Amino acid sequence: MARGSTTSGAPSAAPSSTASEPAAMAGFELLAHTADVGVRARGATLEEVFEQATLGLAEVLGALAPGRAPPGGPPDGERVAVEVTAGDHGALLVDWLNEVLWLHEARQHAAVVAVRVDQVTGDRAAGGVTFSTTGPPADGTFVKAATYHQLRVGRDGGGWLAEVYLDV
Amino acid sequence: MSEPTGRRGAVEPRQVEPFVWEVPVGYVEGMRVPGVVFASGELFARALEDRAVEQVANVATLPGIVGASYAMPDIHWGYGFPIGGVAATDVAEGGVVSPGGVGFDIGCGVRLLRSDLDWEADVRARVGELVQALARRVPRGTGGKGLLPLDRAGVERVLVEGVRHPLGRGVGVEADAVACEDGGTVGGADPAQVSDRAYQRGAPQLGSLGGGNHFLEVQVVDEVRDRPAAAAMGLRPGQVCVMLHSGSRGVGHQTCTDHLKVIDRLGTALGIRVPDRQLACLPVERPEAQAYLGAMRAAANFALANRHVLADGVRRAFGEVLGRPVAGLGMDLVYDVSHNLAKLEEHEVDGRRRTLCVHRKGATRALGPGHPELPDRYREVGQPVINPGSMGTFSYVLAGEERAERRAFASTCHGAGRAMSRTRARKLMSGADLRRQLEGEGVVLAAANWKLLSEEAPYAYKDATAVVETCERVGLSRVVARLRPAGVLKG
Repeated sequence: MARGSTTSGAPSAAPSSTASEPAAMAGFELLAHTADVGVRARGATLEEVFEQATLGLAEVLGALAPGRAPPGGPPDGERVAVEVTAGDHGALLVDWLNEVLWLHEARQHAAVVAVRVDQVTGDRAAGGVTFSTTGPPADGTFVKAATYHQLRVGRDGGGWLAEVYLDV
Repeated sequence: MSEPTGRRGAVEPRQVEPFVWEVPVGYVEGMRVPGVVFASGELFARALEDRAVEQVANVATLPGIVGASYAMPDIHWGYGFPIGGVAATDVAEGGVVSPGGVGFDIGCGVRLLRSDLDWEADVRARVGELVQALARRVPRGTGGKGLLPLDRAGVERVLVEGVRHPLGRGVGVEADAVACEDGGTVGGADPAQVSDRAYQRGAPQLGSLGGGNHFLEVQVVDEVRDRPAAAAMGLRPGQVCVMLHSGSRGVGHQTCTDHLKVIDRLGTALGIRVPDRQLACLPVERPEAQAYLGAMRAAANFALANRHVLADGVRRAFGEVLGRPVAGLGMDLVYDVSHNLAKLEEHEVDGRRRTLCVHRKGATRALGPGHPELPDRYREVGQPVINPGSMGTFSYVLAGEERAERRAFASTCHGAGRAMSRTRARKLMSGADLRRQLEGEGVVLAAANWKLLSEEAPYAYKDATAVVETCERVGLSRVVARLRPAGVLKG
């Protein structure tokens, strides 16, 4: 699980960045943890940072393994609308990721192949996630939940940054 | 945005007696009691590097916490609570319950089956076949459908009755319930507080191992160190045992997720400040906290029943391979104990009996000899504590010591404890290489996902021997028997 993993195949995802790149560049990296794993996501907008965090989760789940999500166009899949409400941006992100996990498990661990976040306000996030309907199930690390541990969602330079840890 | 952890003050941890380290009040802002870590110098140094000691201090800020924020020698960085953490709050004094102090895998635990089988005479030549039969019979990995799928009414009964529900359907024997913590049924479960999603996640999953660090091992008793206790547990050298580690599957994950959201929001609204948001908590006496506890106990019952059903599958696989009736194998349950749970327990604090909400996150209850809650056969020797090592290394059976009551609210360690990240563990060795190495050492393996095998490599964990010996030195538990792995099924 290298830093700066590529995220090809997801229509709304730009290539991921590392910490040294400009904050406004969208991307994610996985953060080491003794037992679990963290995701640090960056984006020019809150919507973009939510998308990148979702792609980070998808990578942990094994959903974006090479060859699974063909580059150059949206893969076949079922797009599911996602909407969550919560009291602040951090709780919205945790709820959003947990919603994706629920949908993933309810679809027999179908791989996440694309995500689009249309709007994040102070108390609501809405968009959609596309799950593979043709490929094999995700075969990465099983994620129990997104946690509030060291949760951060905030402005970072000209863009937004989020950090969230997953219980695996 | 939540506050960052680790606003360290000027005070530093210090060793107060051999294998006991104190994290003084002031190490992080807002500590109400000190932290106490049971560890050798080496284990403590690792916990400091790992930031787990900071988490011990963070837990010490919880409203109503009494005694100290404790950590067992297998301590490591968790999410909110450290893994290996024990925290008790005084219910009558506004003490809180924190879902993060139980975790997402509510009721996760370990069970050990003994047998009348001798390794050399009965099993050694058949162990490959046995592991294959177990691999066929025991659902594992992320998508595994359980051995006993349930409808909604069945899930509800499991949530209330624990192992009693599968027992009533002819799975297992009565003695299995007696040898479980809480007699196999956690009282006070409230299935109405478990969400539809948790029901849906649980329905297909009863009797499935799951993924991550969950496992099933065929083991051999390698050494007995406490003969009377081993005799009470039916353990003798050279005997084959089976250890399994699993939890409440999607029921627990969903239950924690659902209630944490409510408690986080309400706790913030009530002005309860915690240094890490995952420590979100509410006074036990609030209705939302009671709702969580009711749901948590229900999920714990699911975990107990899950391990019960898995154990039945194990017995059947042994019977099938060895061509003998299951009842004649002597595969009795030694004990089943959870290491992720919050319980209301009576303990003496400052000379007064109090009702405490004791959180054990990666720590095990360890009742000493004579405790009234113990099954008769363990009354004299203390509660069995099942301590898995890492894959390919020794596991231990311990017994609770009377001193554990005063030392850490009758608690001890839960296993080896991770020492490095999964990413790093995977980089050090491929799953295929690790498989070759372990098989070279005589351990037969089956994994749901070979690619991820080395995440759970022995080198990713602390030395289980150092952990259990530390617990023995400080009087939390004593070693009864050491078990070596012969066959491993990874979740």
